Amino acid sequence: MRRYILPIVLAVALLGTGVWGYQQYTQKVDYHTYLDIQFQRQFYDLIGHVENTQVDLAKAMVSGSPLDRANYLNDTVRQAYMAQEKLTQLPFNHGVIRSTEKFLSQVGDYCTAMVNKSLEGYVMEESEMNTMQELHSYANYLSQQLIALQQDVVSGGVNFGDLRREGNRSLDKVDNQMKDLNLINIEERMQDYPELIYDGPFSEHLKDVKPRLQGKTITEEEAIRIVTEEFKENKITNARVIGRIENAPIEGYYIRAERNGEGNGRGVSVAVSKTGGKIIWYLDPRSIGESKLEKEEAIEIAEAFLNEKGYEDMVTTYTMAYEGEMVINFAYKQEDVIVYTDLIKVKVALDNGDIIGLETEGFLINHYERDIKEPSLSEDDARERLSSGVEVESTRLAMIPTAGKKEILTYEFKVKFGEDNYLIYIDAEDGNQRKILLMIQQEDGTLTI
Amino acid sequence: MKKYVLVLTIVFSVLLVVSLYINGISAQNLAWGSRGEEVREAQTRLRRWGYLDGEVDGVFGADTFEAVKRLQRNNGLTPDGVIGPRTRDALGMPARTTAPTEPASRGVSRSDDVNLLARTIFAEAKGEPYEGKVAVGAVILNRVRNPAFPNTMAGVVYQPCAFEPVKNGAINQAPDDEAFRAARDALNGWDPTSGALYFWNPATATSRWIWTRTITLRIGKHVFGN
Repeated sequence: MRRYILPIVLAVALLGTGVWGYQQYTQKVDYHTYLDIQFQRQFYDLIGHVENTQVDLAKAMVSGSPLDRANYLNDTVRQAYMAQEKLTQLPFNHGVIRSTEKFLSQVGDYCTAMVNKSLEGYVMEESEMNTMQELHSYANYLSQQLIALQQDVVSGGVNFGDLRREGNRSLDKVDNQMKDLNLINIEERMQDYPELIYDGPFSEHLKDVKPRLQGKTITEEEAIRIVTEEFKENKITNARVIGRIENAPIEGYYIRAERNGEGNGRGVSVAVSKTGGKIIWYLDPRSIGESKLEKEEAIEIAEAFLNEKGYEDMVTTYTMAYEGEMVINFAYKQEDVIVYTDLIKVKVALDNGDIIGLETEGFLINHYERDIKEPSLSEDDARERLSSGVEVESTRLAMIPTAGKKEILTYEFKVKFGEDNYLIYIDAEDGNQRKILLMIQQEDGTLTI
Repeated sequence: MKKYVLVLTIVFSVLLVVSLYINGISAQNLAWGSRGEEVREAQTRLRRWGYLDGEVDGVFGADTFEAVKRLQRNNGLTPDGVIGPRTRDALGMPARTTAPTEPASRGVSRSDDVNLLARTIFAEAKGEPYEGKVAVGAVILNRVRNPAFPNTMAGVVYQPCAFEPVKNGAINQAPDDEAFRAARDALNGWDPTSGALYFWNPATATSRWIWTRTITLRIGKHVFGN
């Protein structure tokens, strides 16, 4: 009798494992199907949004009045962005859908720029009509291809769950699948759509913005000397070039060094521009002790630091404090106009007033002495444009960037509406409202959205 | 003997249930086992004043417990190691939950973005130099602003096939203090990469496609590029 016990126990264990294994398997299939179905839903949505993009774009083109056109363009914007959002969340390899994603974003962005034009009463130019016509035919092509792809999905040729799993692993397999899916052909075709130049954040002209920074080209040795000089009072030693920043708007040397003083010998990093030898950024990651400085003291320290480095006429725009450190934003002031594009950020440690961060890229790229014309709209006229419900607290002239990085001169009104403060920007030429920022007062500073 | 084991087990289960229940009642308080942004805040303050030697990790553990007791003794409070309303006061932390009688409009803060970014940085750039962490954060923000990528931070971080830690779940780990600071610096505009959209580790990158990108900079183990 005894000798049967072991075999029986083992047999029961085997049976148990089998049952457990089968349950695990069905569970896996269950999850896999669920995931696949979710992706399929997104894919159907994607097709719907691309089709609607195409249809709304067509309707916008045949609309008679600028206002009707603006209506359909707005629909196009929404559909294009939703299509882009759906596409980016499908498990396709990024390299294979890059241009398609970009196309959808740019259609949305371009149409936003056209909505703004229409609302200001402009009739579209012929070149703009031609661009829309081309965008429309590309959207049409895309939706047809996606519908063809949908047949594959329905007939079970595509399993999104599998695609996701293999997304990063075996590239050859994914490549093959993408070829099967015809996605590569779509992508190749989509790369050829026209370059779009307009006033929006995704416009093609922004790639070619040349930095205004000038000066002579410096060598590695000079860069090291500049770092040691610029941070002399912070006792920076052992500076060495360990990399280069290339193929960027501002090229430079990437340098590491040791900083003495509190937390002796800790590593800091800094980048110096090849042109002109300016500090592009500086980061000191030391941990920070108990805060001893007030906001005003920190601002004074940051101002003194910038003055010493030769950045004059910089004014504080806003500050934010976190766990013992304070980030202070400075903008350039030309005569009495704040120029928000020429931006420098300084980070001060609130325990002993060390400068622990600097960021000047905005300033280096944008800064020059502008020829600012007298505004054609008077301050009182601009004030007339504000809503009657707001209470104006202060006004000044400000140069602000548009979505397409152009600069416009505006009146900046700091206003109170109900409990909240806002900054409202009124164009100093035509009185149009260009931007509103909501200011959120927090314990540690003011956040603008 | 067996009886004792049984009795002990029952006693413990009852204690557990009761303690869970009590925890539920006094959820306002921070105590051993609490986690989150508020614990982090308390730890930062305790550390700044020299009560706490340990890490600021957002987890209320033994170190934090002892630190809170020391603070309570110094302030003439009962040293129970629980951060209640009075200890909160002593720490100078704002009392929790503002009454709903506050005026409706107060906007939102972006603390969740910081959190998500910090988690991604922590998982992607462990052991990298500080500027390398800021750079990873900057790449994510550059993607949000680029037409070929999703338009929100969550969209970029959770994009399928984009980041390894999202696939293997490492993204859910609580970030350390340095990752948080790097995330804030990236959100405040520090970008060591000058606008890079991709980063990869040359030792482990499996994609041939990624090497067709133009390289802007190398930091630590990562290559950054467009």
